[in-house]
Amino acid sequence: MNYNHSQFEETREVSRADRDKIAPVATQRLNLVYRAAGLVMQIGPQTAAEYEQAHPVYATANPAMASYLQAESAPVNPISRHEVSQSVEQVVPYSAVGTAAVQEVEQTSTGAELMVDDPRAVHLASAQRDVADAFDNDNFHLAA
Amino acid sequence: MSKLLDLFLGQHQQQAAEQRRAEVYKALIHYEAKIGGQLFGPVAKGERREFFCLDERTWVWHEEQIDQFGQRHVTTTRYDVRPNGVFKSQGVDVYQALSPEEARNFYDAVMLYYERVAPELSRLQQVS
Repeated sequence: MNYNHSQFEETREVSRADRDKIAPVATQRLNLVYRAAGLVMQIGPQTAAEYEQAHPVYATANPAMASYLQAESAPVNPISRHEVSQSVEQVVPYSAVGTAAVQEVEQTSTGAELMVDDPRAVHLASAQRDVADAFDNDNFHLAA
Repeated sequence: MSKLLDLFLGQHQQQAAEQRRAEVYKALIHYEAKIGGQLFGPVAKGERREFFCLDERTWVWHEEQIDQFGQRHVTTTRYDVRPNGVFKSQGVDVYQALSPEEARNFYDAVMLYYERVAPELSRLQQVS
């Protein structure tokens, strides 16, 4: 079946079988959102420039998180291309749908542009297409 | 022969289950994106706005508007959360550090997103 918003909003209309499919995925998403929001909370609302001048506040706030973040920030190629490709596919497993839907991406014209030697940048174009593809489904068009 | 058939059927069932899981996952992201898009106020008629968590370190803002000349503008911004701050990308392989105001807005948006989305996901995980 195709899932849509009303089924999530009013689950009484969803069959037991479908509810059984939704529940574990909702748990997966909840855990992911929890971790993602936690990372943002740990870093706090500061810019990279401000951060460079400050000490890593998370280092004492949460040693386990600090260890994780510092490992991720290792200066030498922390993420291999293969690993990045895998992670994108895992998160967006439906990436084979459709063609690129980003018809126009407005470039930022203010501020300094930072070219980052990050392997993930290599995959940005395909990842952006994946994101766009995810929204290229009429069942889930969110226009008001 | 029957073992081969069992193996084939088993793989087919596993693939079908994975496909269903992917469909639910995709639909849940869209559901979250709808909630996320409403964090910033009402969406005008004909416009589309979404904000969602793509993965542990990536957040996405997606907006579509039609200008006074009928031209459709699509903006997709990825926010990359790194240990040394949050960077955004609106083009291919170009990252830019957030301004202080943007960083504050992003932080607030993520906190609001969690406040609004987590209860919905908690509800959905308890419906079975």
